[in-house]
Amino acid sequence: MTKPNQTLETLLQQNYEHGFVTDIESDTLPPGLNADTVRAISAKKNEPEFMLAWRLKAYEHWCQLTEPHWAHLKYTPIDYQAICYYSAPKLKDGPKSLDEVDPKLIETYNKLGIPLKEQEWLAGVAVDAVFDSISVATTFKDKLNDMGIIFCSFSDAVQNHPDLVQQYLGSVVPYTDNFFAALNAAVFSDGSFVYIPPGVRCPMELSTYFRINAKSTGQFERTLIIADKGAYVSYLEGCTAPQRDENQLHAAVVELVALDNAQIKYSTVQNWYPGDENGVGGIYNFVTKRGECRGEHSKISWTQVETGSAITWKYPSVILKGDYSVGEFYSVALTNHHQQADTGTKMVHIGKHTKSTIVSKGISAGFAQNTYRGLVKVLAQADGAHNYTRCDSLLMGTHCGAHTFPYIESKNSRARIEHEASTSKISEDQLFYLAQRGIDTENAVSMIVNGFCKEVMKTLPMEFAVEARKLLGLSLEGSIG
Amino acid sequence: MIPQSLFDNCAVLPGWDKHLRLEAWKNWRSMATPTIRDEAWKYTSLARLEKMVFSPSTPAPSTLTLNDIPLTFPENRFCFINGVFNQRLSAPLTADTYLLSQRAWPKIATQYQTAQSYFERLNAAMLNDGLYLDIQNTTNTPLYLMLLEDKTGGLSQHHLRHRIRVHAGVKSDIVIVDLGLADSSSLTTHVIDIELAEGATLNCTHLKKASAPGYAIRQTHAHLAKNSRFTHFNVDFGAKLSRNEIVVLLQENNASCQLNGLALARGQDHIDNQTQITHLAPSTQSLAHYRGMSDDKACHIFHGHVLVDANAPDSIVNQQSKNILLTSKAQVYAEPQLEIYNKNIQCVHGATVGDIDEEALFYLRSRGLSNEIARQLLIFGFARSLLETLDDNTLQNELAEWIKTHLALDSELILDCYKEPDHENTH
Amino acid sequence: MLIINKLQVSIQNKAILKGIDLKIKPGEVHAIMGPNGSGKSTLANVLSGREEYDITAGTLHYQGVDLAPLTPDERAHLGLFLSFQYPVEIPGVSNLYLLKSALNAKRKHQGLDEIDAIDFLSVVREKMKLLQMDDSYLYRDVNTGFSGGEKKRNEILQLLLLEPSLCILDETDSGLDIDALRIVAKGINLMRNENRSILLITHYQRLLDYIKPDVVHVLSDGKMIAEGDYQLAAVLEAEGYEPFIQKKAGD
Repeated sequence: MTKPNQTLETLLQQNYEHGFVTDIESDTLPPGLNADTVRAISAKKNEPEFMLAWRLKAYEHWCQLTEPHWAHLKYTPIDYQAICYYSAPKLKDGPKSLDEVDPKLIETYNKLGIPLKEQEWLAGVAVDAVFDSISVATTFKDKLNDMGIIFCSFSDAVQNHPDLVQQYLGSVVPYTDNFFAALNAAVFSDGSFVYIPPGVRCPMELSTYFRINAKSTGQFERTLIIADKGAYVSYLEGCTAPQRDENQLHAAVVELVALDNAQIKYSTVQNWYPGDENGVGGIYNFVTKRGECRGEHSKISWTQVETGSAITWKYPSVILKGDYSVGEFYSVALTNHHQQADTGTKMVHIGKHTKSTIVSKGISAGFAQNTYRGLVKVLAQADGAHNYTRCDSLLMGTHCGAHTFPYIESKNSRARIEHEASTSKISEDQLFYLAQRGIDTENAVSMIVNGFCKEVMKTLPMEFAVEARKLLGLSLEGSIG
Repeated sequence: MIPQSLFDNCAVLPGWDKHLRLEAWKNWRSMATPTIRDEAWKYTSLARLEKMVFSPSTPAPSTLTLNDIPLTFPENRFCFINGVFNQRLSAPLTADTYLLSQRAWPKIATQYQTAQSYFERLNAAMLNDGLYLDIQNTTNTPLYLMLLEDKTGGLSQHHLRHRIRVHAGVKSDIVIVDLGLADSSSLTTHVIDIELAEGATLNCTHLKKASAPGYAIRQTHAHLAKNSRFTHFNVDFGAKLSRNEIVVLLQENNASCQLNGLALARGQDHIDNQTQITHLAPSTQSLAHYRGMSDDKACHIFHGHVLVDANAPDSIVNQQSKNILLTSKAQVYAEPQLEIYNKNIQCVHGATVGDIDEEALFYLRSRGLSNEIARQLLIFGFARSLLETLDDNTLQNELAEWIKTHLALDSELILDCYKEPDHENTH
Repeated sequence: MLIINKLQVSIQNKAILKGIDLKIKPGEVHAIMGPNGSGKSTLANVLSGREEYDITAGTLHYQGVDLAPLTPDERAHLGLFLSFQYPVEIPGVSNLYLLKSALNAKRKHQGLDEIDAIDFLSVVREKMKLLQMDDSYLYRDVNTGFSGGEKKRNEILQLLLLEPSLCILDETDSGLDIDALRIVAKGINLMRNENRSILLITHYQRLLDYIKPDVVHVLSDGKMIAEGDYQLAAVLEAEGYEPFIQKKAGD
């Protein structure tokens, strides 16, 4: 076991590949948060009155709240007055095509291995790229336009589709939901907006790549996806962030609404800067993601591969309101070094014959703490509701932890809930067996971990699965000890 | 819950350390009553309890007789009535046992300063009585602790604390039976400290039998030394509030525990079972298997927490919670939690909530049993199959009878087909 | 007599049986063979009254009684017995208890008194002897922790005890070694008489070597595609189902 370990040691020393800073002039508000900051953000974005009113109410509510500390996380307190709440790349008139996008941005994406310029015709993916807090490039708009699909930045949606925004904004995650959701509602700068009209099946995977760039900029995106009756959409969210020593706060909100017979598939690969091997730096990721199956036979499916961030606090949830609606949560959370993740889901069964599936795979290495926290709640009227939950943990280091905190609440005798969990490690027998077949430790570990996560990985769209597999290999950094 | 005046007027037992007691009272007063915002009390509200005033227990002469105890009569027993030891109903005390007296008090009091939780502090302040059991020799017959209640009228309170030490290599069986009154509204706190020395074994069965008793909060703390084994079987037949907290520390190599529980909640019962197992040393093992049934408007909670410390490699953890909900007014909350800090362990846990197994129901009906009978049988089987882990056959059968009565199962229907007949009859 | 007429069955809107006709007279032994997924087990379950199957067309009559509105226990009282392909484990309920309550439920239905405990034990022991089962079976929980072979033997024990007039044996041979198969077959053969009908559902000829059927049916994709005597089973064993399916498709 000593020999392969040395190879792994070198792997372990690997630096964050995506750590660099792109130098672009920023249009930035000074740090600090008060009602005027909120007004300034709204004004900069030229928002209608209802938006400002909503933001201010959210801000007032936030002022009454205190940061929650029930999660299995430890971190230095966040100074909300030291954060800068608005930072936009300077764009003279706004790009009309990819050619007008700042070449430095394009270069950044290329370094990240995201050939934005080529994606249009290579992968058939439309990309709404968020650089810091503002959307700078949207492709495939025309083609989607023809089908009545709206896929644009949140700011554009506020300008061009205020009725839709007003109808659905905050209808799944109200600003009163939690501390971070309130903060986001008050100060969010941009994000993505998707509307799929009745009966339309979105022909391509919609995708946004997020980047956190400017120094000390908290990023507060807001995403709203509405699938009208009988519509279908698959949405990809991918994130990478440059290396930085200060901790950065990220408090996004994602709201999904599925009406009768609609389906939304939301996939995330999250690879933000996790901090260095001593636990210095890294992103604080406090995200509220929730979908509501509002209509009958609707379906919302979350898949996430979380390998980044110093702190992850994230529970993509589904409110199963419509009869026969389906909620799914597939998750891989990999933590290494001093990373901490407290992630899971909530499935709230309200409608009859609603069904939910939860598959969570937690991998913990180094000094990391990995927690699954999930709620399955069946209300009294949810006859025939069914949940199946499987949570597995893989422990790879001698100083790491893997925790499982399921909450099961049932008030219906005709509902069925099953929860299973296990913990395991990579055994020396497995490594020896693979070594004997000529596979080195690094590949063997990657192979075993990918096998451990297979159930989740196979739910990812093809392009994403490849990236995710690569990420798992990278983040593992040979923590066999 | 308890105003200052009640504390001041509370009768003081001989040998009582007034200073400690006053400390405890202050400690308790300084603490706010837990609310549903506290994680540990999330599903159990104390709001109603807080408004009630419970008068201290008065050790009045009791008219209870042995016939009032619905149990095959155990030889070796300690009886408490309304929280106070009763000599008349008790039978042979061993030499190594001390009642809460001048001699035993300091031995029980050692745990006092560390009282953390709300009810443990209350218990410390208002303590009525208790036992110090120093078990130095293996016994063949189980020792019974019977907690009886006599008509007290109105709201009363009883507070007991026991300390049980089992010496190295000694094996002992203890059965604790809570026999509340049918229409009781008393508040009981009951704290038991258990220490197992190297290689010791303690099988503890804790039965809570009462048709509709009041409010009971019980805490069991067990500390396990090397190679020792602790089994705990918790059978709860429901109460207005029945909270059972079992805390086990597996402190040294190869210590093991098995915590089983059965909660049969009916009517408006509220049963809250909390287990907390901490593995602190290598090769320690824990098994927790709790089953709950909620009928009518009853509520059952299982909160199981297992922590495996980094210093506990080669440990084995198994935690299971199975629950049946029989009506849509009943509720079940299950939280089987794990906190693991060592990779070299084996760990599984599972939880299920649902109605009766449809497959099994169809199977029985295809054999000609009516829907009603088949359901009753399956509920009984659900409860009974856990009893099989009890070594004591007499107790096992006695409990099966209690379950039948409690669930109002047709006794004719559920025949006694479990005991193997005597050998003469079989051949 | 069992009469199945143009039976169509679906589960969750998926058609499984697509028009089945079958007549079994008293004293006859019929075998239904067919590839996996052909609907064999569905037929057995529908006959026993399993709820999740929907009869979309056709009828089921046994001894002149329409089975459709009857519950599983009512059908059992009519004399219908299903030996399960996968007998269910019921922890906490002793085998003895199940046997006794099942027998008493039947006796009650027939207007008889409950059987005396001692008489019961002697009857059960006699049957168990036939199946080479020891006493411990009685005190174990129903099928709990039984091996595949033990479970099947336990099914046959119930069959011998309840003396049904129509026995449906769903894949009773699966999971049995040769010795166990012989014992089980012996038990079934003992039950053969001019009043009792038997329906064997199986993949293989193996069981039919021990229990010779009067009629062999081949079920494929929810339809009966061939019928013959015992020889048909041998042909199937030699050639497989494929030629029959092809031939039917060609018709």
